[in-house]
Amino acid sequence: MKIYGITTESSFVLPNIATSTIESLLDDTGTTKGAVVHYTQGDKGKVHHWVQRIRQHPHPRIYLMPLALIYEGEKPPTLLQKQFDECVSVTQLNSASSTKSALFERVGQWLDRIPNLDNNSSDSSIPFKILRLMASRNKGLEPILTPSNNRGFVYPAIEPMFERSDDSPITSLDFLHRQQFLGRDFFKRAHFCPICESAFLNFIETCPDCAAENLTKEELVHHFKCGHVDNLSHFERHNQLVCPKCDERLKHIGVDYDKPSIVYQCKQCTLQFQDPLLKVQCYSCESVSNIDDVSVEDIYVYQLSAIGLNAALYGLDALFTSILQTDLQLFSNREFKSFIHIEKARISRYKKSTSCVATIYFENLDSLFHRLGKRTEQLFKEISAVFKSVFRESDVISALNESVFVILMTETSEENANLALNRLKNAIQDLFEASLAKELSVGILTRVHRIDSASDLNLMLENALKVEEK
Amino acid sequence: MSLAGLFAFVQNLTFAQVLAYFWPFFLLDMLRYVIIESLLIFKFLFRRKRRQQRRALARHQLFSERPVVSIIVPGKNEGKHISALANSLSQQTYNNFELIIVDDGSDDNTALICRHLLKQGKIDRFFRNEVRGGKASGANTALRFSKGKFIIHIDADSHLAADAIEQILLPFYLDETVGAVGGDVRVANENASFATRLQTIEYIKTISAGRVAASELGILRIISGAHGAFKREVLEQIYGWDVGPGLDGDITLKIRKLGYRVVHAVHAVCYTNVPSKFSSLRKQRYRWDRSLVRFRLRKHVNMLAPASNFRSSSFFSIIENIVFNVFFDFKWIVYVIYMLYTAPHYLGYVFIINYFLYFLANIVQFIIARALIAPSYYSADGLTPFFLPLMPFYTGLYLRAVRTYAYLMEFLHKTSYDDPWNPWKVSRIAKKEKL
Ligand SMILES: [Zn+2]
Ligand SMILES: [Zn+2]
Ligand SMILES: [Zn+2]
Repeated sequence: MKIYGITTESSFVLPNIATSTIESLLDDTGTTKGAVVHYTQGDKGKVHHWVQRIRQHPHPRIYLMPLALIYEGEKPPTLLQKQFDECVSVTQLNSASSTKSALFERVGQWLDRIPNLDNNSSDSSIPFKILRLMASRNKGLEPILTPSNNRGFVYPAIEPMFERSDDSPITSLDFLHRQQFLGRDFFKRAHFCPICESAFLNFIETCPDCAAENLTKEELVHHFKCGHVDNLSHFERHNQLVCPKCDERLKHIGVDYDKPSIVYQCKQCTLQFQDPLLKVQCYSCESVSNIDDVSVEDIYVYQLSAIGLNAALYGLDALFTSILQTDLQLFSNREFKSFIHIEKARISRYKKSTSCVATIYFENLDSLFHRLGKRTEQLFKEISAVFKSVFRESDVISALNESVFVILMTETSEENANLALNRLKNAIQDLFEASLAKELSVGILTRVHRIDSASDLNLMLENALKVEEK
Repeated sequence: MSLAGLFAFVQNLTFAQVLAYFWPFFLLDMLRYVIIESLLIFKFLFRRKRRQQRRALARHQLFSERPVVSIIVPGKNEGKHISALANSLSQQTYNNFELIIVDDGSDDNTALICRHLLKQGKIDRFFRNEVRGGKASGANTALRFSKGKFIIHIDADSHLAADAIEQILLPFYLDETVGAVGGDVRVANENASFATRLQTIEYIKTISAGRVAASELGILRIISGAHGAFKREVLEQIYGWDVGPGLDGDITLKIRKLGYRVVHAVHAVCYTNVPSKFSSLRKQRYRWDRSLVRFRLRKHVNMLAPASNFRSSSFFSIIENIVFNVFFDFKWIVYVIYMLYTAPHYLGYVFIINYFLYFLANIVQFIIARALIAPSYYSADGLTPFFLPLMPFYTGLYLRAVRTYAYLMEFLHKTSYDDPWNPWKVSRIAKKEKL
């Protein structure tokens, strides 16, 4: 494992870190452990671009790479700091290096837990990458307020995963929350332009009659003794307050006079009023709206849920497997293989019975999440119930991965196995229709292999997985 | 005591005895309420006949000029009435007005209701004082923001006859020197109860007839807070309303001092709901009387004191005021004591005869008042005159007892500074300043 130092200068400040270029770093999916970026003033654009290239990389080892920012002198802008896992000044570097390596270790350990992670692994779904980034750090996602974004806030940690700075991060987080992968807590409430969603709004008090913005504001004074009510300025005489009605000096507010309200006067049409019409002008699109039309939205802090944590390791569709696991008692691949061996031996010894192995492949299963959201879990439970009704107690079910299942159907002819699989297919298709998911391209592909003494389990499983690739 | 005895007593009365035994009736009440008032009303009716053409001209002037009129409605927790008020105002024959609501520190949903009505365009302006300031400051806040040439002050729970605004504005066009006009207040719930019947008669007598008479004499003292119109320039000169009992206070005196006339528009009708139970009526009158007593006495006594700014011109009007009001309120005590000394054996006869005299006076007053308001008279069922025989008890005993009690309480405690219409902070200043 290597920690790369990338810098615009020819050599890196720290001797024990190999200096590298961004290109060679992105190529090394095998040994990367983390990267330290040396920041010097004026590099902001370049550094941001590097982080983007790393986080947008499809390989988990690259895009989940722990990143540290080292700076000399002035601190880099907050938005940039927060895109990194760590940010330290050169002078603090030695004392802080232990915590940093702890972080690097943690991310490394988490990556090791991902099943089937190899050089060819590639994650294309950004929401999934967000889940993995959060899970590998075991950290929530906090927004920061910024004028650099139209919405006035960003989630800096995931910002580099996106090509452009627009609404996509918020949409993705909202999607993950709806799928219950992320929990959220209230962070801030903010006002946004009803036309362009910009957070940069100018709140203007306007005249209810002529809509002018040029208003003056004055306090009303009420003299208790004589009941006179007028603008404060009409009471002002030689640095004192004197009642114009009874010529008496006002002494103590609350004792002989008070200020019951505030009054606005329009400089354009001279109207006096108490409740100015509040208008909102957007700095981005310059549109003027009524205050009631401004959209008020909540900004959240996100954390991974238990489902999210699971999905980060095993994929968004692992939920299905876990439901089947509890309902049907899935056997592990190793157990399944041993069952096949036993069955093969049994069949070759008695030569009377026939058994089959069925493979079922669900195509495009994660599109269900996008479509059904929270209802996905309910649908999976129903599919699981179909599995239970079609297969017998004596059948052995195992999952090759989230969407490929193999079932050992003992004492079953190929014909009967196909009949059972067709029943399964039809029942599940009915379920999709009932759940309005039929327009989804979730395909169900099945295949039946007869077990005989010549059966090669590995070949069978390979074939099963090959179906997936079609 | 017998009927024969009563006749014998009456037959044997000499003129001197009549005066001696019944002087309060003949010298004071009959003279003031029957003879003088009737003459004044006759004069008014006679003039009105002659002025019909001028009235038509005035109406023409009003409707061709169409000045903006500001209807101001200050109040606390009156939100529930505002919608009905706005609807009833939309029926007015004169409709060039702005409706201004002032919420004087309400602690209910008044502000919410009013802001909604404002958006719907049912009211024109709405102002809210977060801190309650009392009736005068509420009205003054409304005045501060009004634009009208005339300001009409009405209560939120009142209901105006369809031509009330027109009728209350006409006097300004009949006579340029009119600075303020009081509107007539009549009972809306006439047939609700025994108590409201008696109050209906009372309102017609004292407000409709009484104020026309006072107006004819040029001494109209009260413009009802429930219904009154003012020239804007006049209110601006006197800086609006003063802190006083209700808003009826001495605003009329101030207006008259500026050289303006104050008149009563008997056909500008505002209907109000009066208490239908004697217990709540008693509480209402006790409140009114006590603050009136304070207003009349303490303020004037204070002004008579050597230390204060003494002006002889006001001295006599104050003396007149005190003599008339206090004496009228307490003459019955003098009378009872006097009778106990002079004719202790005839008290029963004297009481019965007094009743008949006052009954007859009530009938005469009612007939004249009824004739006065005939053009704008409305009655639920016409049964109210049958309650006239009870009026001597109502005004002579019931109201008198309440008023006497109010005087007593006012002399013993100064509690009426804690007015229901003024918050504590304003009452406290009033108390300190002996207003
Ligand atoms: Zn905009
Ligand atoms: Zn304006
Ligand atoms: Zn004052």
